[in-house]
Amino acid sequence: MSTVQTNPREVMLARRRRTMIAAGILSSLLTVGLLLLVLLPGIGTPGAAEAVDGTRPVAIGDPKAATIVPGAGWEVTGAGSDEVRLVSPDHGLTVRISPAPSGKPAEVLAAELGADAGAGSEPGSGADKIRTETLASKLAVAHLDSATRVSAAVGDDRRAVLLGVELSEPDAKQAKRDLASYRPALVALVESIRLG
Amino acid sequence: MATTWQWRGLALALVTALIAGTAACAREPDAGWKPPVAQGPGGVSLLAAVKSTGQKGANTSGQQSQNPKNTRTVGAAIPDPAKIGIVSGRIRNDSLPIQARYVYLPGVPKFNERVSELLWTAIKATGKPYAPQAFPVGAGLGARGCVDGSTERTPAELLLDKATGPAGGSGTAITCSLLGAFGPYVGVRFRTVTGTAETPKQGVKPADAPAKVVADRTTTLYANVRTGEVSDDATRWREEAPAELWRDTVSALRTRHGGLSNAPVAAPGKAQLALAAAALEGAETADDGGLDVTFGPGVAAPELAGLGTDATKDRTSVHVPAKTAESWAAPSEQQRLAAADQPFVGMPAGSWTAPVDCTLVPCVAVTYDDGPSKHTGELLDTLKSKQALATFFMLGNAASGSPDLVRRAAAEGQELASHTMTHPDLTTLSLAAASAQVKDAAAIIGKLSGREVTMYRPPYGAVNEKVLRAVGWPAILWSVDTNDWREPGPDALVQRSVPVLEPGGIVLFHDTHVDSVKTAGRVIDGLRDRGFTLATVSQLFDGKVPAGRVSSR
Repeated sequence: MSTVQTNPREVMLARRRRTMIAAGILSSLLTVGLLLLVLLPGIGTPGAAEAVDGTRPVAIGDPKAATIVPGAGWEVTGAGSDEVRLVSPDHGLTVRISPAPSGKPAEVLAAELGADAGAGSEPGSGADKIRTETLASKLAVAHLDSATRVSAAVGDDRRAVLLGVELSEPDAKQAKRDLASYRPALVALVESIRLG
Repeated sequence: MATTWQWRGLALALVTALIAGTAACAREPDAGWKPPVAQGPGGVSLLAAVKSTGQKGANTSGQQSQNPKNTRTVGAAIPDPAKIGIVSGRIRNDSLPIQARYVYLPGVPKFNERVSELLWTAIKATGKPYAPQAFPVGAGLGARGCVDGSTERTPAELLLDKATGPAGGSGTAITCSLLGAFGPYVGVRFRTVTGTAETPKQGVKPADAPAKVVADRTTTLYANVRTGEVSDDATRWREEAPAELWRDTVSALRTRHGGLSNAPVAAPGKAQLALAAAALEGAETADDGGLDVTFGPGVAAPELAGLGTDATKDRTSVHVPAKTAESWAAPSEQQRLAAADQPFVGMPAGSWTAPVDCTLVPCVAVTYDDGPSKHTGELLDTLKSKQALATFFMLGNAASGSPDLVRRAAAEGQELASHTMTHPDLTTLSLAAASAQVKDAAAIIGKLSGREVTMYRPPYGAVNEKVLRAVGWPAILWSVDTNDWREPGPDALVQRSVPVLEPGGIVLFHDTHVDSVKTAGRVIDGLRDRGFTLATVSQLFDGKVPAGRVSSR
């Protein structure tokens, strides 16, 4: 029988080499993965943000219930999902849009606010303060406004989408903007909604 | 060696991963992005809210146009109105009471008629009898014409300011602002405020003093000095412009009041349309060539009511982009807007035709006898520089000897009349000789000046009924004789004329005496300080000089 003589130093170096190679491969995979996330938004997770060009409709809901056309520079997260999130270019305003159960906008909004109130998220539903307007798009909008938040439903007699609009701190504060200063942008968003 | 290479590779990979990870997690806010502003389809956007507290622009009469916020000039500003020939005026009358600051544009009768109409309308509105009034020396009425920015002041400020308001701050204040002179256009804004302002308490600015305003009206006139045409607020815009302005304003208000719709606004009713028309009448040209327009309180629409918003209680100011303003403009207004950057072409040549209405302003006629002389040129210089008119009773022989001075005096608007050929006492001559003395001189002066001469002044004031009948023309005497031929000195000449003249008076000087010529400027300034307007003898009588002896109006 012959005995293989192994140098302990060589053994240690070989182990370290294997560890290094494994770490290198792992970090390279991680890098490639992250780059894919950046370059190909929408891959893997619906949470990827995309800045839009102001012309392309963004789908709301899966299956698609409506579309919206955010202005240039707005960031869109979750396009084509049941919760689309829009962030203004200055990050001061966030708009969440989701398909709503069937019904007129005012009914849908009242139900939504009632549900919220039931969940204890609002001191009162404020359903009696809901205001309804006809849009240039011929759809109707029902909305309830406060100084920092707008809850709205946009739709026709049968279908609607729900919008939750709120100031995003600290960016809105930093830009010295209140909800009123974003309202024309919000009007443009609401007017761009199309059902189906 | 291999170990070092691997460490470097690992470090590089980790740094790359870190950067990529950071980029994937967050985008930087775009600090340069600005939310769009609320605006109607025509691009009309709301300016900062304007309070209406009975102060600036308050329209308590409910019938007349409200006023804009601040003055912006169109085209070139007018640093020295007199230099381009604008004639400045001022009226104070404490019996009504009223004070008026205004301008006339020589050679533009339609403009001047509008100004006179505006002044008479305010006077007649008092319902009191009116006669022009002059004031004692030191009245401070020499500063005349428009007051920069005065049309944008609060009613209280206008009424309380001694430069613009009626005596005691109660009555009528008329003021004007020169908006600009460009191309062939001169723009002037007039404002008439009637009411009572209380003297402010200590620490309170006059602008903030309490005021009860009965009427507050603004009128903007643009005169084309080439064509003589005048456009006003009411004719500046196309018929549909007020409705479009109203719709755009309501649309912008809808967004301000929490609306989320951009749907077209329904057509305005009659009252709302009138509100928009009044706002458009007071429109100001903004720095960008657009318009700043201010609505009075009371803007209401179903679209606003649906948002729980009642009629506006304050004034509402909006900005109209240049492109939209241009589309609203009537053809004449479009031409004016196109000329906004051009230099002013100047007043019509020989423009000494600004009206003098001696039933409106206190007039005096300053007259000079015995010329022309070697001093007459200097006197004409003074009169021209002060935009003052006088009447020259010239000797026929002297006129023949200085034809250029005769022509110049006539060309500069001075009135010329006969003072006989050789300065005889007409009552000592045969009637034929007396008549020839007067009319021969008149013929010479008329030939040189190109104007018909139909008045005379008898030398020494000597005239009788026979001579009056023989000549058949008005014999112009005087109400104040300075006796300047006695050479009393400049101060005495001023004292003998300025303090003693009454409205309608005629004062006698001689342009053959150097002191009379040298003091002409002081006399003119002194008379104007008392509120007088200098008129020719003919103007004193509105062109209808009565026959016989005439010594005052």
